[in-house]
Amino acid sequence: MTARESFPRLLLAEWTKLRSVSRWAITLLGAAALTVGLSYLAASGNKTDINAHPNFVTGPRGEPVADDFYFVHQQVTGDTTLTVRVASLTHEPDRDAADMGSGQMTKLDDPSPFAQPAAGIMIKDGTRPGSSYASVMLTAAQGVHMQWDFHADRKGSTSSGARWLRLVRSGNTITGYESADGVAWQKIGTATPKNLPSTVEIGFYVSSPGAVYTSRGGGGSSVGERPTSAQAAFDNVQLASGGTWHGESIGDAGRLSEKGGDRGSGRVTEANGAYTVVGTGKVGPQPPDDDMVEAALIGVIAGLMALIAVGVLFATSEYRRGMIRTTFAATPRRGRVLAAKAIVLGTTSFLVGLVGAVGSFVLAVPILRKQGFTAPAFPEPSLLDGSVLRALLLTAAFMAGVAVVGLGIGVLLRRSAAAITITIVLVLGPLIVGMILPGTSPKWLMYTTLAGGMATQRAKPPTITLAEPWAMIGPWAGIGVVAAWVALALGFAWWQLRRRDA
Amino acid sequence: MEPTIEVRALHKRYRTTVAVDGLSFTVRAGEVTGFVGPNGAGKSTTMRLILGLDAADEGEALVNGRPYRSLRTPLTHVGALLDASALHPGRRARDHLLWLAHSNGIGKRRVSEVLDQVGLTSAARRRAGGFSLGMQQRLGIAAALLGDPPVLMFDEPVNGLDPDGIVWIRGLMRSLAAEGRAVLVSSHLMGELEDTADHLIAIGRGRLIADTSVAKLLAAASKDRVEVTTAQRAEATTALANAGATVTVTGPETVVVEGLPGDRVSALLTGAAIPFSELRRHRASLEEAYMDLTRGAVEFAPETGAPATDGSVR
Repeated sequence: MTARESFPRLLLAEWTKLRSVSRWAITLLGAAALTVGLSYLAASGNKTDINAHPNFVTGPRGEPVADDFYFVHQQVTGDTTLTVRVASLTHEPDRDAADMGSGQMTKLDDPSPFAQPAAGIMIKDGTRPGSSYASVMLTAAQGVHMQWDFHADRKGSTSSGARWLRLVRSGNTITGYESADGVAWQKIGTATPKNLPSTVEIGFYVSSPGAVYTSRGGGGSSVGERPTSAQAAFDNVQLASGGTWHGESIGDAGRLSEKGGDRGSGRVTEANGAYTVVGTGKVGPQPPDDDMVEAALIGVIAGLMALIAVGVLFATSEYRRGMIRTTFAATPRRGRVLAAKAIVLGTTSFLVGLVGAVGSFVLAVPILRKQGFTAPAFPEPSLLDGSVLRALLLTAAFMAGVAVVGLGIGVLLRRSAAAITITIVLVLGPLIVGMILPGTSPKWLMYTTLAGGMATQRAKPPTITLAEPWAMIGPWAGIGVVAAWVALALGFAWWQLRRRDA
Repeated sequence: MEPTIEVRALHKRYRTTVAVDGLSFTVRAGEVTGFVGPNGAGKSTTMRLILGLDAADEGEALVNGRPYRSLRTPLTHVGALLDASALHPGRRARDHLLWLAHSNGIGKRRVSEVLDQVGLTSAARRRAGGFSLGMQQRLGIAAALLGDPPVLMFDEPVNGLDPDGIVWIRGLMRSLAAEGRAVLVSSHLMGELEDTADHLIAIGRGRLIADTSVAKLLAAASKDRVEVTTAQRAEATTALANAGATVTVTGPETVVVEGLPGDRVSALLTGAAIPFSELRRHRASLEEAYMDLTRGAVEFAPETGAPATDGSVR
C-alpha cells in the first residue's frame, strides 16, 4: 500500500465530507439563491428622486459636483499667465455649532482637500456652475494644492502663510506653480481640463465649504448644512492682458447672497491694487452618500444566515453521532483537521458568496436604474470598477469569514442550535444596536464585532451621515474585523480540540 | 517488527469515575485476542486511549511500538471499529469510505475493494443513515480494513449482526489473524468469542483479571471432570458420591462428576451394575471458564481489593 499523508489530501477528505451531504450542498446553493433573490426584491422597493431635486450640479464628466465660490475674474483668450500673492486667508470660526440641536448633531469632519476653505487662482470655462476648471490654492489647513475638474488634486507645499501662486496656460495644458517670494517658483502639477475653449475666465477666488451636521440613530439619519465664509487678501496681481476685474458669486453662493443673508454673501473690495475677497461655498465632488453597490447587495444578509448554518453543521455534525472519533482516528493531528475544515468551508463559502454578490449586482443594478439611481447622482457602476470589484470580493470574503466563525463556534459548543443562534446574534445583534445608537457611538461596535463586516458592501468612502452603522467604517477595516474574529474563533476551537477528549 | 498493541500501566479517570486503573497487556500478531469484561469494565475506554482519542492520565499505549498520535497514516497501521453509528447519516456509504481514504492518502480503488470484501457493493450508493445496524457494522469494518492495517481493533463487532453475519465476522477475524495480523476483539458476552479467540484479556472495573491463552483456560476449567449419561441417575449419583466424588446434576440423564478420574468412574458404575450410555471428559464452555475465572472478581470484589486471579492461568 502506498499511502501518503499530505495536507492537500486532508483538504480533499474534508471537501469530500462537505460535498457528500446533499442537504449541505442544497443549502450552499440556497445561500447564493437567497442572496440574489432578496437583493432583487429589495431593489424593486428602493426608489430615489435625487436627480429631480439635486443638491449638486453636473460636472464636466457628468458627475455630481459642488461649484460654489466667489470669483473675481476677467475674460482671456489664448495662452496666458496669472500671478497673485495670497497675503492672508482667514475663515470664520463655526460660532453657531451649539444651535444645531444641543449635542444631538455631529459635525462632519471631511478631510478631503476639496472640503477646505481656500483662496486661490483659477482658469474656468465660463462662469456656469459645473464647468471645467483648473486652480491652485492656499488652503486653511492643508497647505497649497492644485485641482481641476472637481476630481483631480495635486499636493503642493504645506505652507500656511502668505504664498505666491501662478497658473500658466499653454494650449490645452495648465501648469500650476507656487513661490514663497515671487522669485523662486516650484511647479505643483500639470492639468488638462476636459473642456477648455480658447476664451476662458481667469481670476482669483475664495471658497469656504459649509459646515455639515448629521444626526443619526433610532434607525434613521438626517443631514444639515450651514454656510461658512472665508476672507482672503490678494496683492501683486499680474495678468499679461490686464483688463478689468469683475467680482461674482458662482453657483449656490450667488443664490444665497441674493436672498440677502449676511452669511454666504461674497464680495470684493480693492485698495491700491490689493483686493480683499469674501467667499462661501465648495468647489469639489458632491456625490450622494447612498451607495448603489451597497443597495444592490441587501440580500447578502439572507445568504449569510444559510452559510452560517452550513458552517456550524460542518463542525457539529462531527459530534452528533461521534463521527469526530472516526475523523481523529484517521488524522490524529487535530489542528490540521481544523485547518483543513476551515480552508474547505472558507473557500466554498467565498465562491458561494461571490456568486451571490455578483448575481445580486447584475440583477439588482438594472432595477435600481429604473427607479432613479441614474446619472448624474449615480453614475452607472461597472462590474470592472475597482471599487465595485473590491466591494463584491470583500463581501464574499466577509460571508466566508462569518461561515468559518460559525465553524469555530460549532467546534466549541458541539451543539447545532446553540452555535447557529450565537453566530447569527454576533452578526445581527450589533447591527440592530448600531442602528438605534445615536451619532458616531456605534463606530466602535463596528470596529469590534462581526457586524463591521457589512462595511465590505460599500463601494463609496465611509460616512457618518447614513442610518446604517457599518457605513461609518471602511471596507478594509470591516474585513479586518472579520479576520480577527476568524482567528479568535479558530484559536479557541484549536485550543479546545487539543485539550478535550474526542 | 511484529505488529502489536502494547498497553502499559494505563490510567484514565473521568471526573469521579476511574475507568481504567493500571491496565497492562500486549496483543500479539497472528492471534485473535478477546477483550472481555462486563459492561462498564473499561473496554471501550481502553480502545479510545489506544487510538489517542482520549488522553491517558498515566501510562502509555503503543501501536507497533509507537504512540498512535505520532502515526501519520494511522489507518495503514491500525484499523478500528469503535462505534458503527459514528458516521453522518446523510452521507453515502462509498463517500464515507472515500473521505477516510483521502485523509490517509489511500487510493480510490481500495474503497471498492473493501466494500466488496464486506458485501456492501450493492449498497455503496445508499445513505448510511438508512442502513440496518448490521449493515452499519459491515461499513465500520470496511473502514477498519481500508488501510490494509497489520493491527485491527473491533469493539463489540457482533452487535446487531444476523446469524449469517456472525459467522462471517468470525471467519473474517480468523483469516485476518491467519494472515499474521494482531486482532483485538472486545465483547461483554464470552460466548461470542467461543471458537474465535486464541487469547483472552479479561478486565473488570478497569483492572486486569486474566491474560491467558484460551486453550489453557479451557483445560484448567475442564480438569478432572467427567460427564456421565445414564438412565439411573439417582443410583449413579449415590454410588459416585459414596466414593468421594462431587456430583452435579446437569440434565435429566446427565451428571458431572468431579474428583474421580474417568476410569475409576467407569469401574465404580460397572461394579454397581448401573448401566450408562456415555462417559466422556467434560469440556467446559468458554462461558463457564470465564465465570470460574471472574467469580468474585467482578461483582463481589471489594473496591480496593487486588484482582482475584487463578495462579494457574495468570
